[in-house]
Amino acid sequence: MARVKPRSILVIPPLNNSIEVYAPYVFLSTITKPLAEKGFYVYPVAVIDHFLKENGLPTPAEMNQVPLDALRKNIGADAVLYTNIEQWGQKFEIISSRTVVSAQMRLVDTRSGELLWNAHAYAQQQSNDSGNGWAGAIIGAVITQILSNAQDLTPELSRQANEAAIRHTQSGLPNGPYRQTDPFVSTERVSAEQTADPTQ
Amino acid sequence: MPYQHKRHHGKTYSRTAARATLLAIAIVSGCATPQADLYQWGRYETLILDMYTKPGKATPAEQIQQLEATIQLAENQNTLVGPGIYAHLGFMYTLANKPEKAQAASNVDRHTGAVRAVRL
Repeated sequence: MARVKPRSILVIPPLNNSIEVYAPYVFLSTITKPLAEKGFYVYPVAVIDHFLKENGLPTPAEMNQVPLDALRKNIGADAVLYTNIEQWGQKFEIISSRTVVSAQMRLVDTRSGELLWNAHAYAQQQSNDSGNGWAGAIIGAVITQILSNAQDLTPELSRQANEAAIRHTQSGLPNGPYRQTDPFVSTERVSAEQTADPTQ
Repeated sequence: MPYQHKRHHGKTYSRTAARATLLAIAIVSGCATPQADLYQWGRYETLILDMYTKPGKATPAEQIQQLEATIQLAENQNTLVGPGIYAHLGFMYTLANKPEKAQAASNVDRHTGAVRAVRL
């Protein structure tokens, strides 16, 4: 990251190694904000997904095969975020259930192919029983599983996992050009740049 | 220029006050300085989730309404919407068969991205 400073990030829809069909798209719905708030331009994920599909790449597996120079030439991105989903969704266990999201991310420079940053985004929520012995525990697990089925926890966990991975003090993504050390300085600079708009 | 961002006006006092508050929070909590959000996001990411995982929900018409509301809010508060939101709005206008509005919205996103790349 010290040598290359990307301004823009293209998020390629993740490879999915879980059995949850929607996992790549839940992930995509939680990745833009943390990257952009770190100071990068993030290409609109749904527009990019649509664009790649229109260009004969119907699934993330094919999208992940596109050469970097093609992405750079056709879209203009400085860096590409590749994601590999490892685990996603609810695990049913005997006395409890837990929901897990787990994904490996790699940020790659589109000019050199160099790895700029990588991280493991992980979050889980355990649903425990109330502690009234085995019967209570099993009922608790059943109730929690029914409730959890009604409400998918993965969007919220994915959001937390990505925020934590990207904003981590030591291993997080370094600030991009639109985020300076002082957030207010950055805001001033963005607004100043808006006033320089030649079409105004 | 219906999608032009407005410039920020000076809010010296509130910025200073906010900065002091953030600094105080950072000192008390003893962790890294919290970072204020740069952008308004509205329901952008929720709309993306819904359009993929809940077929029939988050129709182009509904998304256009929500995204326009977020843009209006950002303009009223002299803030910026997140990168990509205008382009996503343009995409929704394309799906809604409104090519002129689609072009206008997409241009704003491309334009602000390009200006940033040059100026910063």
